[in-house]
Amino acid sequence: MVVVSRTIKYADKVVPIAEIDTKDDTCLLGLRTDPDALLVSIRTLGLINPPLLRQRRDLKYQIVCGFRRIMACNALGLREIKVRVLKESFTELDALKLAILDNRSHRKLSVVEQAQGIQKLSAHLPRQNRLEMLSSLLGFPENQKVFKKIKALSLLPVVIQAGVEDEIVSFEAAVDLNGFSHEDSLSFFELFRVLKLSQNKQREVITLVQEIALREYLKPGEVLQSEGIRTILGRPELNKNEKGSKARAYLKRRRFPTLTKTEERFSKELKALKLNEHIKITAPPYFEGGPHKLRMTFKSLKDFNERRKTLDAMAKNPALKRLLEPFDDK
Amino acid sequence: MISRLYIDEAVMHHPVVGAVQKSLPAIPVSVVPDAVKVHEALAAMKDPIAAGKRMLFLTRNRGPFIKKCPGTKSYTCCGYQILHIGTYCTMDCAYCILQAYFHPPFLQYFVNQERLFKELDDIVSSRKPPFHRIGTGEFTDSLIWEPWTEPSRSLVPYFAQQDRVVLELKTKTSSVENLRGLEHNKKTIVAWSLNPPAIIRNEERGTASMRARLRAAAQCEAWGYPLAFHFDPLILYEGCEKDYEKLVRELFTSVSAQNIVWISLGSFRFMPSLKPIIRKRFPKSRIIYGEFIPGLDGKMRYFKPLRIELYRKMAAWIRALAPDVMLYFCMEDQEVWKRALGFIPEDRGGLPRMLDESAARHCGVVI
Ligand code: SF4
Repeated sequence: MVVVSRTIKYADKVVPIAEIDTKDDTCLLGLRTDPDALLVSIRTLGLINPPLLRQRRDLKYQIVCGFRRIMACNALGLREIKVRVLKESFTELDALKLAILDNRSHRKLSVVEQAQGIQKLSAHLPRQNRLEMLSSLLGFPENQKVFKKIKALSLLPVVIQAGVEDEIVSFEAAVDLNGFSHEDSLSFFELFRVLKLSQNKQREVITLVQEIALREYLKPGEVLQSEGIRTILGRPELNKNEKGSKARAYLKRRRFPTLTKTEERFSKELKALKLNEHIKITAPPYFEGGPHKLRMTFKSLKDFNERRKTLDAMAKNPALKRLLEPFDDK
Repeated sequence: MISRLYIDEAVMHHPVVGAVQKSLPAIPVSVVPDAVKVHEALAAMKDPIAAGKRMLFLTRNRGPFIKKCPGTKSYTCCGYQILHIGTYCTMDCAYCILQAYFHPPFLQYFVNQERLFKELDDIVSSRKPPFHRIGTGEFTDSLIWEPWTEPSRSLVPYFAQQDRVVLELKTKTSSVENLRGLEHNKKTIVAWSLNPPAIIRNEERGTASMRARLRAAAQCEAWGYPLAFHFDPLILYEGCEKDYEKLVRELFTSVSAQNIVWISLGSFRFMPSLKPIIRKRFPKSRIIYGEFIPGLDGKMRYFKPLRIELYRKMAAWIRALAPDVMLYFCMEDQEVWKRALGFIPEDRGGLPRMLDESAARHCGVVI
């Protein structure tokens, strides 16, 4: 754990809000300064906990802790507020560390805040021991792999980082998006906004689109804008879940056309066998070889004899031969 | 080419080391206690896989020189033996398995060949285990070592004076000069991997052109060597059928089918760990974006009907020009054999037997 090695001295002051540079986000960790939740409390009780500021050389104040409080006061039309101004000459790095520790004193930082922290702190830290210092300050495991992922997140457009906080895109999927141009990553983000997909499915979609694009010499954004996807998204009768599975099926078919066709042929022949829920046939994985699997359930001798009849009928059904030879086009 | 020579201190006085140093006069040399120093040097490089192609480590082989080819149960294996003379390659194919096989890969040549020949003596004289085909082209390209260590000058005459085993030298180079004038007694097969010019251009950096390979093959044929060809990896891309058909035609206009001991067909397959490497090192390559599925051995392979389709066509084109040539699949199952060639190896005694018989016919080995 990093310790700020001196006692922080500050002066209580009342300063005009106009003298605070609310656009200076040097010490801002999160993406939002949305003050809504604080409005009621400040209106009724006033500002209980004064924000911490640092005076810059141009004499304007920089916010170290308390962005949302200041935004709320501003929204409430207050002209002056009670603040604490750091007394000593704190460097930008010290102020940033202070802001981080202040946040961490009452909660864990979100991964997006950690990403912002990495981006803001890295420039100030020496290369040597950088990972150790960052992980200790921001509270993530000291591990290159984790670090790389969080750093990747920090390089994405802010709207996608916010999307991670809002759970529109999963953290892992967002990390995958880092390899794309901002334009393409935003196209993926737009898609994830309108589809309901689990983390794994989002990642699957990213891989499928990327590989289709590479194979067809297109940009990922062009694949996402293709007729097939647009048609699915434009169907009002489908909910987000249904759109998600249809979009995945479309991409899979485009990426693996022969495999998908074979799977469809297999399902068709399986249907033609008219099996019931007590008998199941599964093809070998990817039809690569190995045995088909037959699963049969029964409770009694009577059940067993019935299943046997079904199996006998199945053996005589020409669909079985076709099912076992899914590569024959006829 | 070679930018640094590392010498294992245990072999620094070996005559092969002196010969290599002589052939690389201006190259910086480091004598090191073991491979760790080479690993460290590579780890500091931006692209260690490429850098490993320029670092040559002369050392001794502590394990066996003769190894069984690592086949799997799920696919029919040809029963080949590997003569492990060294590792890695100076050429740079996008699909090269060696990029992911060694950690990290670098050029390594085993100078303690006294033991290699001792192992060969034991096997040739004892006839146990019984095998008839061995090759140096599994963990390296067989002919890249010629400029420095000239392994063919000792291996080819060695195999010439026995009649049990054929040596296959498999290459993508055209460096056959050292084979000229050697006593080979048809016990050395010179073999080339073939692919159309489009694949060579885009995926096989630093290899000889298709024409150069075929010219070298014709030259070896003229010197009396038996030949072999490997259409491996076959790669599916738009227009590939036309290209492969043309390649087959060019092959048979360059050399005579009678002198070909075998031709293998193998579609592109790769360990999943190779995919990110290809993506990173060959960003323009499209070969990993085919319709691949995980095979029974864990490697990614083209979806079976796609393989069968290309094999069928290749077999038909080859058969039309060389009806009697021994054609086989590298690591495929019975279904593929049946559908693409109309029979399974077991009907003809098994694949190793079929290949041994072809070696007996063309090279005079006694099986
Ligand atoms: S020639 Fe063979 S060994 Fe050399 S890089 Fe290509 S595939 Fe690998």
